[in-house]
Amino acid sequence: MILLLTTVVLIALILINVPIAVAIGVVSLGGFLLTSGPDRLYDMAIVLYSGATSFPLIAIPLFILAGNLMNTSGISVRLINFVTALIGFVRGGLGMVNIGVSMVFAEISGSAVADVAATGTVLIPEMKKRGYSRTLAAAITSSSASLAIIIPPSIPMILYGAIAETSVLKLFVAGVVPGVLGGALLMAVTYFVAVRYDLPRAEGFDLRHIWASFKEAFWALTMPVIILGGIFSGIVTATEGAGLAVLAALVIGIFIYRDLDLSRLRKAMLEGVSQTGVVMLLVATSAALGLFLTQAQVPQQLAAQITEITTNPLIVLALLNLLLLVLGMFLHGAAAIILVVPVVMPLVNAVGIDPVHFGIIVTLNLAIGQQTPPVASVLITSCSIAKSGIWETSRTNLPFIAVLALILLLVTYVPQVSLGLTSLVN
Amino acid sequence: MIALFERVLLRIIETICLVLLVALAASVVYSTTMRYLGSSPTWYDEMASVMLAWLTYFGATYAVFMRQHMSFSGLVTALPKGPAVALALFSELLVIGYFAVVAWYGNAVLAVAKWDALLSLPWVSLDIVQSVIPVTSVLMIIGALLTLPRALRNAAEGVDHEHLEIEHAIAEAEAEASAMTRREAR
Repeated sequence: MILLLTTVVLIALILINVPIAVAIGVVSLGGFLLTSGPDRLYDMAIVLYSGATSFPLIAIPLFILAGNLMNTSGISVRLINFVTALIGFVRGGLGMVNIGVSMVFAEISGSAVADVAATGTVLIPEMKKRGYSRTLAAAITSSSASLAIIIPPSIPMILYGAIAETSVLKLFVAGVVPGVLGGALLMAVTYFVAVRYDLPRAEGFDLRHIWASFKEAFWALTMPVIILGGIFSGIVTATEGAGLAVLAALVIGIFIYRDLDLSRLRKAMLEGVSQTGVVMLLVATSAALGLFLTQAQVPQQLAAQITEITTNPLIVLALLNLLLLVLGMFLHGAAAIILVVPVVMPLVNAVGIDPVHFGIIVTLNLAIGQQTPPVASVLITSCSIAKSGIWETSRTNLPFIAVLALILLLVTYVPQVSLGLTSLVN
Repeated sequence: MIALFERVLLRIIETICLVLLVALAASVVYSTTMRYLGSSPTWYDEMASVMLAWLTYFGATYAVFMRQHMSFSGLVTALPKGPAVALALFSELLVIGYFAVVAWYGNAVLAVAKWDALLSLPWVSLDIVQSVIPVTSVLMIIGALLTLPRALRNAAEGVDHEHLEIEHAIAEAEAEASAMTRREAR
């Protein structure tokens, strides 16, 4: 009853355009007042502070800053040029370039919109010029940028790790195989579409050009090597890796590419500050909601009620997938993780689902959610750049969404796909 | 006069946010370096968490002034002008009321927090650390009030917040791309 009432009020407030963080806060406040009286509001004030002090979340502002610095210091354009030289000779090459760059670049900063804008404004006009339809250019950009959510470093994974009290490092490692597999399948679909519609090659194969663009992009390519190499090898933690990413982006932007002056730096930092404030206020207010729901025993009761019906993890996973897919249509990724994960974690633990495995399932569902209107910021951004209609693009996007759904099914029912590599790290 | 007040206040908030972000990034890099040199700073875990909380609330305040908090405006923008403005006004009142309650109770708990201090820096009492909640709650109320006319105008004109954000991001990215092309041409 409490869960139902909380959900209804929360949805109503969100629908009338109350900021989601405030809607969560108001629901928690009302819940405390109605069930325990005003004295509990002292606890709420304390939790609103302590909810923002979770140590693993320190990686969030730093990765956001590194992503913004990469967006403003020409790193993305150099990556695009290099990948174009490398695989542009294949039929549909520009579409594959788009997927390749997205996998390295997208979802690093806190704003999926800013990331897809950075790569999309360069690649989509170029794709249209070479005969790609507007809807195809937007669909490829949107689906590949969304897949990047499971390729580390990923802000949603850090959020999930902190909320579910799971290793961020293991989540990062678990995302690698599904991410690469998904990228390869998206490229395969692009190739078939390119052959069918006789799309051209981006450019001929030229070793000298590859070498020249590699030299230009060399320092940009060191970014993922520094971040992921450092984290995966255990040299640095995820938070330390985020700090190194900021340092590397600063050194590359200021001293090597010399594209980062003081005013750009200030702008990138202020954007990072705002994105951090938006995500972290959600985290802090959801800690208050979590306190209210836990006191009311809601997650425990939900777990007990469902496990009375079934304890089969396969059925529970199917139900959770359905819930997350529907929520992903109406909520932004961070908000969905923050709201759903604390409520369903007792259930996930009760039926014996590995929390790392569930983390990849959650993030993949949200990737699909970014493709499905009405709330589909990545798709809408891609459509705005391509000047294509959202519904026509969604039709063209169907095979690409099917790839994401296939990866989701594979990850859900073959846990080794995500968990296979995690035994290599501690 | 009000516009000047808003500009000055925003500049102060921006400066606090930038200082916190730089301090947080620098302390992570410093602590990583010192860990490898065999002398991890004892204050790092606790201070970095405090800085994150401060960055969270001052960053959220900055986002209130810039009207960048996550919301779903699809339904309200589809409504006729009258109901859209009424709902926008209700939403603003809810924001102000919520932060007023948080400011009140956030301030009340400071009386107890002052008897406790940070473990690694005992001269810093917890009331100073936790004062970020009432201080930024008041700032967020001021931010909501100062930007209220803009919010109501947007609601009256049916402007979708998400579309504004997307248009802004695309314009920024296009400006970046063309600036880079110009630099390369030189």
